[in-house]
Amino acid sequence: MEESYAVLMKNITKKFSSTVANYRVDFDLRKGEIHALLGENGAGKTTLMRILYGEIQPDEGEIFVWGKKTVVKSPSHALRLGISMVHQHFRLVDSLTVAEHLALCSSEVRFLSKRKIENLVAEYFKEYYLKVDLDAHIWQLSAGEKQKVEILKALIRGARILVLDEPTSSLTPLEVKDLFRVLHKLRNRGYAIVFISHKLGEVLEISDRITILRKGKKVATIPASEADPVTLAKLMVGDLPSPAKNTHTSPPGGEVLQVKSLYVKNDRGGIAVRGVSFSVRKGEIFGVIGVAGNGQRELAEAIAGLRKPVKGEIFFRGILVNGSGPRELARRGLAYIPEESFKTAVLPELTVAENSILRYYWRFTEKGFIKKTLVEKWAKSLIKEFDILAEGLHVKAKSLSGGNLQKLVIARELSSKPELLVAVNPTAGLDISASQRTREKLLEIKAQGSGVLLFTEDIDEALQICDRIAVIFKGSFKGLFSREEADVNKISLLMAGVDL
Amino acid sequence: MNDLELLAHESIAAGTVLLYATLGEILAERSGVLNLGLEGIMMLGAITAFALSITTGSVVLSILVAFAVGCLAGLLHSAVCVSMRGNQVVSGLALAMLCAGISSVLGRNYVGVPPRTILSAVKVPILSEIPCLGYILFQQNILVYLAYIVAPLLWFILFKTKIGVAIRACGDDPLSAESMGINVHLYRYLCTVLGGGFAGISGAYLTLSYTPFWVENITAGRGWISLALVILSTWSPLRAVLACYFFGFCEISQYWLQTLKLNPYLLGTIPYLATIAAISVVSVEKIRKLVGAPRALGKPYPED
Ligand SMILES: Nc1ncnc2c1ncn2[C@@H]1O[C@H](COP(=O)(O)OP(=O)(O)OP(=O)(O)O)[C@@H](O)[C@H]1O
Ligand SMILES: [Mg+2]
Repeated sequence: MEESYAVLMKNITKKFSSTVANYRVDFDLRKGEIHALLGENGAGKTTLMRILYGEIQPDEGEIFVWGKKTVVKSPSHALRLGISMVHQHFRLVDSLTVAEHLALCSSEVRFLSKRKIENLVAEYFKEYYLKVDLDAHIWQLSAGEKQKVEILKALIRGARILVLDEPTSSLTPLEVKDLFRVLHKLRNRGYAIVFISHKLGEVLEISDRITILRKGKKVATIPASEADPVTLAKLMVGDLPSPAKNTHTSPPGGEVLQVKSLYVKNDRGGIAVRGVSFSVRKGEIFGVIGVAGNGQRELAEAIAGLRKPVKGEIFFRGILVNGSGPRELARRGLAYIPEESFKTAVLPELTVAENSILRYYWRFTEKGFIKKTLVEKWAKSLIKEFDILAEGLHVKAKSLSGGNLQKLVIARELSSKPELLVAVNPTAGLDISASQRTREKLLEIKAQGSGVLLFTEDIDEALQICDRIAVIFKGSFKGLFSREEADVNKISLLMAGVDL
Repeated sequence: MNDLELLAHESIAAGTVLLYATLGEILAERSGVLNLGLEGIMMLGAITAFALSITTGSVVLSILVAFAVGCLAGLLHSAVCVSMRGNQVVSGLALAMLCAGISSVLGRNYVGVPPRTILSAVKVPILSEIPCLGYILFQQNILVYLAYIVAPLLWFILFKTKIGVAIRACGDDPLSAESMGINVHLYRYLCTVLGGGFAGISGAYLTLSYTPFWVENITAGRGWISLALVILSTWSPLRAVLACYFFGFCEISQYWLQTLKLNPYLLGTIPYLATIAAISVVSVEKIRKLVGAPRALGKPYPED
């Protein structure tokens, strides 16, 4: 066994009842390389890495870590072997603070002394720009901030093998740049890194080698220098979908949503949204673009009726709705895809079918009882239309892969024929074709006359489908562009807080 | 010493019975294990300590063995709930009945037996001379003093040490805890076992000091009250001290107020009203996030 191999996985097979998540997969990871794992939603990427991390045991196959044959029994065993994994859906304890998490990962800290923890992270804060508020509780953090905590955890632990499962799906271009700088540094210091992403551009930029999985099987491992987006997409799915185009030009209708000098507080009690005013018209996609943590979540939650504004007014279809609950808004035709939808938009213990009607379950009742046949028919049609990979209608939602869970939420919300759809990063965690399909669907409901309020961190996505784009920074809008006048450079500068 | 001082002194003595069981349960629940068996474990601790004090005459030995027996009961509960992932409510109720049964069998020959030794009050030098407070706080028995140390210590461990963070992680989100390398099962075992031991000490305190004799059902529901107190103190050992002494005060003042022609039964409801109020307060979203129940309380790990 060559010493330069940090990890060698041979012939890994893993079945979940009827699904074969991995079939005879070989995977190797060298010291000092970034190795990307590519594949469609449900291809088995997460499963393969969870096997390496000792969270699940393979049915067949062998694992070598640093040249030694090893059975990774548990995550704590993996951590002792120097393997650390950052999960697609973060593994952070909501009620604990950032400092407490970091303390858990350090062998030096026994007591929670603020100074000690500050010293511990000072180096990483400086070197890697991974600054986070140490006293904040996890539930108060945005997805981007949680990501930073996860990476800090791994670094503090001194892991040499780092698995990042879709780390960028919740990050903004600038944050991605920061992350890549960190990863480059780590690679040059001999760390071995597995990088899972659906964004081909990122993969080509950061990785040294790329392994492609398709329906549980390994298709190929190729050096990144010999790869290009078209070949990769072909290896993954067979063909690259052509990007959706916003061609619908008929003038938008009346205003479905009006927001007037809105102020909203965040969970920490600070003002997150400062005097935002805008309106969304029927048949229009209004994009709000910004770096995570600039008030998007609070603004979206206020509009969805989940958070009471401090000041200002929200009119939905002409009626003042400050303080209306989510159910009333849903009845009036509001659909909502939240950030981290796997946490707040699905009930993991319920079945796929049950989850598919959560937003409007009352439509499936007869004399107060849920009609099972109706629900099944509905769920089936959603699964088909949105190409959701599930073992059946009656498996628990939590057995779905990350992307398929997201698709389920999108399917449910888009199919409610909403008057207004509020979507926060809907394509996060989706593979290329699923992202494309989602954008097409957004354009489709727009063409049918729905208004769409799209929060996104992806400039390309915004430019591709939005009719108007506002940039949000520190809770206020910094600029409003129509699609024709939108300009990538201007927008990125505004997103970074540069005043033009 | 006036009446009020005596009232306060007695309240603390009465509250201490509840305090050990409550602290133990806080520890177990913080790690995610609900132990409804407290009442039974207290009885078991009570009879063990009483029987041993009669046969050996050693108070210290009695307390230690009562603690050990409580630990054993906790071990049984964790074996069922943690290793075998059984239903915690069912196991806890079964444990309560099992222990109650065992303790009445063990106690058959001890009904009406006069105590041989009891935990006598020990004056703390200097401190007990403080006017008013000296008598209330520092002329009590050893177990009361031990509680003065155990409660803040437990608070310190839970909130200021890494071990405490790990315990809370197990109770809030065992999946995340496990992927941070925490051995969830081990922590849950330790906390539940220790929690049982504390309930055993509660029982010992009862028969060695508070009501130094043995009758069946000597705990008179104190185990169940402790479960409510855990909620009232919102899973904090320090608030538990206040809550337990307050309950102790309510218990004692009932006797006093009878002489004042106030309805003692009405007064007896105050602790429960306070608990209901506490439960309503902690169910408010914002507050729940700060001081609410451990999120994974009562759920086996791994789930399914
Ligand atoms: N615990 C489980 N029980 C049953 N099926 C599972 C479980 N975990 C994963 N699967 C199934 O295994 C397959 C592979 O899932 P996996 O999570 O590895 O996909 P993935 O490549 O990470 O996809 P995504 O990009 O959507 O995250 C999926 O079909 C999924 O439904
Ligand atoms: Mg995945």
